[in-house]
Amino acid sequence: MTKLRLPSAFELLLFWHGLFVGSYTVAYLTAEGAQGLHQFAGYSALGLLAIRLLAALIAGDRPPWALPLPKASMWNNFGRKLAAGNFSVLRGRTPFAPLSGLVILGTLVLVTLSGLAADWWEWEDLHGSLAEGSLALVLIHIAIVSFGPLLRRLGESRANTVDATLTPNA
Amino acid sequence: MFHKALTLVLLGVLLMGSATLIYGTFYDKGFAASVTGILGFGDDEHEEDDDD
Repeated sequence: MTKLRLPSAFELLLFWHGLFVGSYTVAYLTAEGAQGLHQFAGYSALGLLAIRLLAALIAGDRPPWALPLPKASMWNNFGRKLAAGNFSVLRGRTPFAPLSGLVILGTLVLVTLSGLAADWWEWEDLHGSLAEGSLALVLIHIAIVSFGPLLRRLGESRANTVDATLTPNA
Repeated sequence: MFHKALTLVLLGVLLMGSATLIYGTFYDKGFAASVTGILGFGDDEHEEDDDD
């Protein structure tokens, strides 16, 4: 029987992330042709960002709700290993992941606030330009967070293939 | 871990899409217009053109 349990803070953060991805996607898709839905999705995104920033304020330095600040020690460690030719450091989480998260968080605050301004004072051009630019950043963020795990998985499957080749048949 | 993250993110996307659809159905332009709007084929601009 499956036991029910409360979600962890990290699971809640992932769920928040999903809701935000959903509101951003819907807002992007409805920007040209469905103004009512665009505003609904945009205000939802703004509310979700407010929740995220408030949670970061309350959490302080405690993960996972703390702001994704790339720490100097993480960069030093990453740079030292890379300089020594240890490319396995690219597998898994790199300091570029929190950096891209932080950049995207800041950009999307600007996008949603400019959307609010567009709703009240008709600043559509500024909002449209920022939103179009944000899509490129979103795609870069997806590429960065997917690259490490994909590389690790590729490495694991190659290692398994080599093991299977070297293991003699019983 | 990657699968769990992807599942929770997709669940959030699904919930947000459903919430927008419910809003659009009851408070905006109805179900059909909301579905086409969410899929990115909304026609608000065409309606404005028709008014001119």
